[in-house]
Amino acid sequence: MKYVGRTLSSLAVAAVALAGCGGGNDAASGGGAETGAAASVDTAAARAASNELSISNVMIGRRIGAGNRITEPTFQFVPNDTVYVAVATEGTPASATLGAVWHFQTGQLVDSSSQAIQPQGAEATEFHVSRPKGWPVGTYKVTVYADGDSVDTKTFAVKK
Amino acid sequence: MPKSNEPLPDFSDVRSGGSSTAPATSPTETYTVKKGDSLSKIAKRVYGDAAQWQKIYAANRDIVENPDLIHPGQVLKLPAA
Repeated sequence: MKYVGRTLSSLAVAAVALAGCGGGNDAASGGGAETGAAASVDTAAARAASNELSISNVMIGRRIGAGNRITEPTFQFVPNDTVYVAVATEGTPASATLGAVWHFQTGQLVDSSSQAIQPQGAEATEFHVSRPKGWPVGTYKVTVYADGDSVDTKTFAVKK
Repeated sequence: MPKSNEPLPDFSDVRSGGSSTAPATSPTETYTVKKGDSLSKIAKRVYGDAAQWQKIYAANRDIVENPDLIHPGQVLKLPAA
């Protein structure tokens, strides 16, 4: 199992569809009607059913709601905020490890955490950080990893 | 940017967490790095094959930036062989 980007997943879906079309006259392919049906499969559904993990969206914000969706997206925080990053994924690999590594503008490591999950299709995984004493004012970045590969980085600011 | 004479902030009190709509996998086996370890030494010990160090590196890219530089006390996730 490995991370693949949305573009690669889409290409793979297209390649499968084209391969199916090419075998339309072959009995083994299941006949023309089925080939046509395969070609019309919604690509989003195909991605969700893939056994390879794809990242469909990464959002950052100060509030999170049902289904681990960011309800108040922002790149500007105040010192007492909890910072959330939500990672939407598709695919059904046997397992996947998502991680979030947070750095301050000085390069200091703020926090690093990961979650090992068994995605069942479209899923949302959130990471959050807070600091009881309040965040120092400045610029931060959070890098999201999927199975060890960096998949997105968000930069945000803390201002008074 | 902070002035150069300002002390660096201490982030040791940061609280973090997370959750997922996906079920969690069973706990991954881990290994705590000891003095003198390298990824290839750990791979040799765990998998019987030093060349498997890349598998350990891939599973720990979030905490290991340089595969030639691991630190005693680091807790590495060990993927299944």
